[in-house]
Amino acid sequence: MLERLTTIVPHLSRNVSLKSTVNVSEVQKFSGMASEWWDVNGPLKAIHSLNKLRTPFFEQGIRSRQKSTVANARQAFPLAGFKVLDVGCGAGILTESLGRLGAEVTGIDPSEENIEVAYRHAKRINLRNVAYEANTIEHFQTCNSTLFDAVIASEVVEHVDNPELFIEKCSESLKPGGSLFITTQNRTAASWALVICGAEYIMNVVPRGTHDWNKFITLDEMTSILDKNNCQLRQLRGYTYNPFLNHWDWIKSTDINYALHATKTV
Amino acid sequence: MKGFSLLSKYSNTIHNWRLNYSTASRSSHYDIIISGGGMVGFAMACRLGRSDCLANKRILLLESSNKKQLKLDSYNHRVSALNPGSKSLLESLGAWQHIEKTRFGSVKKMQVWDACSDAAVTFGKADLSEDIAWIVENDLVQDSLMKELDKIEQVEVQYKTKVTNYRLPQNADELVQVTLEDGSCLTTDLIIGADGFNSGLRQTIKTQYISYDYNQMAVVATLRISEGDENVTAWQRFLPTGPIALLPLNNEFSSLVWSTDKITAKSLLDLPPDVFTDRINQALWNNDDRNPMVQNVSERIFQMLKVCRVNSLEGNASDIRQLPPSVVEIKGRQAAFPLGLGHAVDYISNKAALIGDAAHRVHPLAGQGVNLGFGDVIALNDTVCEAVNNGADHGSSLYLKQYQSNRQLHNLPVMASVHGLHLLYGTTWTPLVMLRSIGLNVFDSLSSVKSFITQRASV
Repeated sequence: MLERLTTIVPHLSRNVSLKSTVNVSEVQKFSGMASEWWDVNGPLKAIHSLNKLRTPFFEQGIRSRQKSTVANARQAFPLAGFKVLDVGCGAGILTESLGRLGAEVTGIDPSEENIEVAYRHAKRINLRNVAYEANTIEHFQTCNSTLFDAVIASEVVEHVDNPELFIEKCSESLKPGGSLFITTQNRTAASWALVICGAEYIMNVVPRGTHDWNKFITLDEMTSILDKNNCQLRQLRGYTYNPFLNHWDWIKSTDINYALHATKTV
Repeated sequence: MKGFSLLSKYSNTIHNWRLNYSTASRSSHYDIIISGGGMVGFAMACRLGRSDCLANKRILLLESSNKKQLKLDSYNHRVSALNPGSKSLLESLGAWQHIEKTRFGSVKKMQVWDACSDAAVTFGKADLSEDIAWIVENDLVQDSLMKELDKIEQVEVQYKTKVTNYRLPQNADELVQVTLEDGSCLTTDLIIGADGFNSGLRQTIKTQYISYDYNQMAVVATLRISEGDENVTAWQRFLPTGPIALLPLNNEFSSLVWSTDKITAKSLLDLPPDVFTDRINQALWNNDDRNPMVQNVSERIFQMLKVCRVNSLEGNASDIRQLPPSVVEIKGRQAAFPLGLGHAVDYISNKAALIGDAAHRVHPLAGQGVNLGFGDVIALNDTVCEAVNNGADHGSSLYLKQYQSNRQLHNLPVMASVHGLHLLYGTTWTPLVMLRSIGLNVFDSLSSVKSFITQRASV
């Protein structure tokens, strides 16, 4: 019903024909996992172990572009002084890791259930520099004047409708020179074989139906969207998952998954 | 379809006090608690305290006994043979400088031989140019670590504090609860058990513990040895009842570690000094256990190998067979401690990790016990730092599992070898004696294999 409404209502933004990035069934799928998010050995264990790879990537990327506003940011809190937006934060798995490194993080997610789980979890472990909001990026960006040092959309863009609008709104939330990080799957035969067949059907390390191969974005499509939003690509790396060891590794090939760091041109 | 409220905000602005399940106040919560203050426990506290990424963490060490005052008027009986890895660790913690200024024995050569056949292996350079191990009194190691720990502000030590109960969390959001003898309760995100082979934490973890009582005791004493060359050789003779070892302390004194069955050990403990000294010399020198047939064969092979070894590049210490010193007298009284094998199948649990003897216990015949413990210290610190650098909870099982696999991969082969040697040298059955004697002579001539083994035992 929501999708029909959005095709009728005229859009206000530049080149896109839909007003929303939210795919309702996707949101429901993730809301249904609310109780399992924080089980490190549960169905979402791969996302937990992904932090080992992606958190240092984001942290090093942020610090490589900007100096912290906090004088002498200690090694214990390398991201102190940075404002970070985690878009599609789910139950806060990435958000918390950035918070522990000292960043002032805001996590947004369209699922109220997930935001509630995220909030409760952060409160339980007394993490004071994270804030959560049940919201979409397009509404958040419209209602909020805050601009961020970094916006991260990790394992999200393959779940949204209208990725062009999504990335546009992400980049609009950035300070000039700010960092945009995206980690997602490439739409290739290799990713179909490994991410869909391999991970979801053969090895069962990711719940079935988590990913829709048709929504994966190729690198060409992604770079074109970034260009349109005046975001300059700084770093691009491929990564892959070892289901036997529950371990992620950086690899040269970006055919399966890729992680990118772009900065908003001043 | 459920509509979402656009303006629902869940904002976390928690201030200074911590929320946790025991509702204990901030002063009773620590980020990391180490239970047990021996050499390994203190090394763990120092290492964590010196890691930059842990600068904001509150660390507590709980030790059940009083703060020890180091006595240096005579040599303490309990010594350890530190390998290069352990020495590096102590250097990095700033503790080695205290040991260096005080006293330690250098081992530049090791000779190990079989009482049943005189087959022997030597380690080390012929010119005695390199240290292969260092003999340091356990109390001195501990005292040196304590001195350094005093300088680290965020690490607190509580002496005379006994833990009566551990309660490990059921899920990742809960904290560990530690109950003390006085009834007070502490909480932590990670409890490290450095509480020895009778570890209370290990019993709480309820891991399968494979243990084997050797029915042996190690008799220890400080001995004055006969004057001769520089005392830089460690001697170990495998008697059928167990190995007897002399570890150099300085040119005048060596430390005795004589592993033998409980009955013999208890009788040795009761002996007056002069009789005890005689018994040591007999154990080192007499040939009662020698098997003539094996001796014959083994000697021929030794000569054969000597001829083949003409082209060895480095001066191999085994080219020169030395005789051990004789013992002049014992200084002070002898003492003894029991020996056993122990292996915890799980080194970790929810927000808990075991290090040192709490996780593994070995026979002293290879001098590896505390070296394995120091290796655990380095590995666990690296694991905790990796977790913190990745923004993870430092008690996270995702990381602790790594610590467990790394250490078990390293420790198990060492433990198996040590146990294997104990079994192999515990028999007088001729075929096995023959096999081990020939094997030892052959092994002795393979310098590259020996270097490999030495290098593996160095970390």
